[in-house]
Amino acid sequence: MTLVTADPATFQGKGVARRLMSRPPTAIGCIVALTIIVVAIAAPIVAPYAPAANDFDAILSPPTFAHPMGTDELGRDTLSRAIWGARASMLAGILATLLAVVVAVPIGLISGFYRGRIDGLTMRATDAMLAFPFLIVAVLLTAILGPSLQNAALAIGLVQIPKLIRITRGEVLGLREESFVQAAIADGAPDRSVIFRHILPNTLNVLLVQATVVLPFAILAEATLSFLGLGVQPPTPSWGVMLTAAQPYLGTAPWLAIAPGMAILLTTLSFNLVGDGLRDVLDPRLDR
Amino acid sequence: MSPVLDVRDVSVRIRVPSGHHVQAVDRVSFSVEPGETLAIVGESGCGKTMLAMAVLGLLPSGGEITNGEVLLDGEDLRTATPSRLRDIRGRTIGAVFQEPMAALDPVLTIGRQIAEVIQRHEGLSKDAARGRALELMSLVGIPDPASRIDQYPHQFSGGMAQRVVIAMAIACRPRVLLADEPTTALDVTIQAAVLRVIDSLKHQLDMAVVLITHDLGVVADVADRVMVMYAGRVVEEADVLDTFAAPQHQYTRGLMGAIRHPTRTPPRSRLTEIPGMVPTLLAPAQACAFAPRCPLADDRCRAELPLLGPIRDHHAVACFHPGVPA
Amino acid sequence: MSRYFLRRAGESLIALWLATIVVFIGVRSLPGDPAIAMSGEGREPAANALIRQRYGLDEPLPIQYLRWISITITGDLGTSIRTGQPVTAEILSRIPTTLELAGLAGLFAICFGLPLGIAAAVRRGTRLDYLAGSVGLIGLSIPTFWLGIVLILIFAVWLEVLPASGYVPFLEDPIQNLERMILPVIVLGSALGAVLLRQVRSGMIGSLGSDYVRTARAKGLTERQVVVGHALRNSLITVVTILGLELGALISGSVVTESIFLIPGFGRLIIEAVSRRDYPVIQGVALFSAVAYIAINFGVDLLYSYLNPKVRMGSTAQ
Repeated sequence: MTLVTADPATFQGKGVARRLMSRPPTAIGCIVALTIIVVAIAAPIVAPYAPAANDFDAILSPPTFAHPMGTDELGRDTLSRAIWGARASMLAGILATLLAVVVAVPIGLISGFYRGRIDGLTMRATDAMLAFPFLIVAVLLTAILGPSLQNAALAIGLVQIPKLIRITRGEVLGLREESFVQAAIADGAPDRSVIFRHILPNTLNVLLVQATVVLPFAILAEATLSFLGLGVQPPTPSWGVMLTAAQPYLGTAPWLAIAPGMAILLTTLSFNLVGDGLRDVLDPRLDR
Repeated sequence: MSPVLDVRDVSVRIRVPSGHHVQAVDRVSFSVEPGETLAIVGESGCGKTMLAMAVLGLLPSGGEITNGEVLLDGEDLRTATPSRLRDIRGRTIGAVFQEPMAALDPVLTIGRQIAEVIQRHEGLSKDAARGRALELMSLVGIPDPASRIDQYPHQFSGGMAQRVVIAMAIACRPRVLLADEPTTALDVTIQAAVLRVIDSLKHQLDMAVVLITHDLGVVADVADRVMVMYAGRVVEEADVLDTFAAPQHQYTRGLMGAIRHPTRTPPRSRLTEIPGMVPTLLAPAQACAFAPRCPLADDRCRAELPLLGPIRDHHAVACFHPGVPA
Repeated sequence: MSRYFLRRAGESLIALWLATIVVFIGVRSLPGDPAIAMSGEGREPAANALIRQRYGLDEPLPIQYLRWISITITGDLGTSIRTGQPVTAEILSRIPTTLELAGLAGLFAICFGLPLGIAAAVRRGTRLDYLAGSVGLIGLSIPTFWLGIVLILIFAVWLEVLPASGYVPFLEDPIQNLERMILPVIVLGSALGAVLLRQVRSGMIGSLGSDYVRTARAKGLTERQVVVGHALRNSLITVVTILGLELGALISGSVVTESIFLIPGFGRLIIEAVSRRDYPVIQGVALFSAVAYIAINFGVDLLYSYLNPKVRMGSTAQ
């Protein structure tokens, strides 16, 4: 029997992209998601008005040619605010995801690789972290640090960490037993090298799929926190903030609620589609 | 004696995700009589499992029988309604498959799983069915059934689990037992025991047994007749002794050469390997499918399809150069 | 089984202990006077000094923790700064409302997610499957609060068939109570239902393709016996575990739902406490959630081990 010493080719860059785009729903998701990202980055150029630009002649006006999505109670253009709001959501989403990944992956790697006491401690710690529903954490954090976009992102990221640790650890535990890792260890490779050159690259698939799950959650969470007053503070535009402001005017100006909500829905939907597609392509053993 | 199961000229086609069709079975016929064991032999991919699934009416979605008849005691199963097929499965035809541990539902006791068949087909009460289950467990040789009937599959070893599966398959005294690689996943020492159980049940219940396998050792052990399949077609069919004594098809000879016989294989000789792999046909074969791997193949083999024809008493072969040792 | 039970109980207790440490650190980090933050009292100097002594606030942190935990464990969570009522009593008075909301929402989620998930798996690849999949995906992606607002818009403002908000206790007027629960339950249950739908579908697809289902079919069992008796039974185990994990999402979801529909439940209490800087209430809420969540998870684990014979019996092959 030949000893298997080569790494399994799990991440094949170009092939993945091609297979992803071959499925209509995923392709649509990718295009929409990318568009939203571009819009968020290019907000100053794309938005017809500045987010705080008041037009007191057109307070609470329904959709017209000048203001395709109407105006709010201060005469601000809803469409522009929605476009600028994309920035807050994207920023929060990316910050939170980055935080979660940067903290969770190393811990998961170490915990899974070395096992023993460290692993036991990590497991208990994640159990404790998992004991707090997201909103409680957000509430506590904003009570201590004050409400803001950064603190919202912090809370969102924190909440994702235990789950990500568990997932990374799970992958590492499995990979440890693979022959190519055993071979590297037997060869006398230092732990650091084994982890970085053999184990980490093979966990990237799963992590990528997870990132596409975390991001939509983060966007939803930021909107929720802003809605509750725990995140972005007015007058900075954020979809959640816009929805809070829209509530009192539901009867008289329903369009104020529709635009930001649709924006959130489109964003999360497209990222979820991409996530589903990635999961199908990269990890077919996950029964879908 | 008339055959219990008479499969005539059956073809099976399967649609694969890419849209193509695969000819899994191409005009195969066979029949079995009560008390007789027919072994269907061939490598993986030769269509033997699809043939069994076709008989059972359990082809995967995308699969269909495109030709022929499947006569069970004269009734054509191909035209039977799904409801009728469900009545027949488990009652008139029993089936045993390859991985016994996977074949059992992990969350139900084996007593419940055996009783389930009996209750479904014979309408017995729970207690009566349970009693029957105990008898069946003894019949298949499970020691101390009373203490094991309420256990779960994971508490059974592979050999014992397969006996449970066999018990479920014969619970309603079927006329035919279909066994698809029943011993392949078991230890060599357990294989013989399980085969014994099947054989003894065959005599006790006067069943016809269709035994699908790639293992010629199993064939030599329990089969009365052999049918060799290749790429969805039958290439040779004969009584078991005849097949071993004088194989007519090069493929059959190749299969035999791949086993080590205690007296006939010269010591320290190399086992012959048949170079190449079984092809997957996208359409019915127009020529001999084995030709690419056959040392005897000539232009006629590559241009024309050899049909199954009798060569001796009770011995048929599909080859233009039968009986010629390579 | 008992060994498993003991081990899980031990792990839960450790997690609980760690969680209390987290809450303690959180409370100590709150701005302002810690004496007031922890107890809700002590605005006059005399009372303040007493509290400082009781909670050991002039002693090293670990001692403070010990004192705090010994007080808290008796159920004394301090007094609400806003109402002057004991925090524990206030929380307990709000729980039944949220339980009703969450319970009904869970029921809704099961009634909508389970059958759709099963149907999608059994009719895989058909239009029903794609429809169910789309419903699931949208349910996952839609922001809860927006769904609430839109439903209020449609049913309360435009169609005027349901009330926009408010709560009437069940015992006072069951019909009014349920009428006002309809929209909140739909809102809270939708996300959970969508998750359930997807999980059931993927679990069922797995079961339906398994060898034991093939055996069940070979036994001639009716489709119903196969799908429900075998495939569903096996998938349910994983589904139950996942549901248990998502229960925490119900707590988060109830915060938003109760805020929109003005339901005076546990979720809304959290928001009120934050906006009013009612620190003892925040402390109580955090502790309560942690305890509840760990207890639920422990319960789900036990349920899982009961349902899965391999864990229940231990595996000894014979």
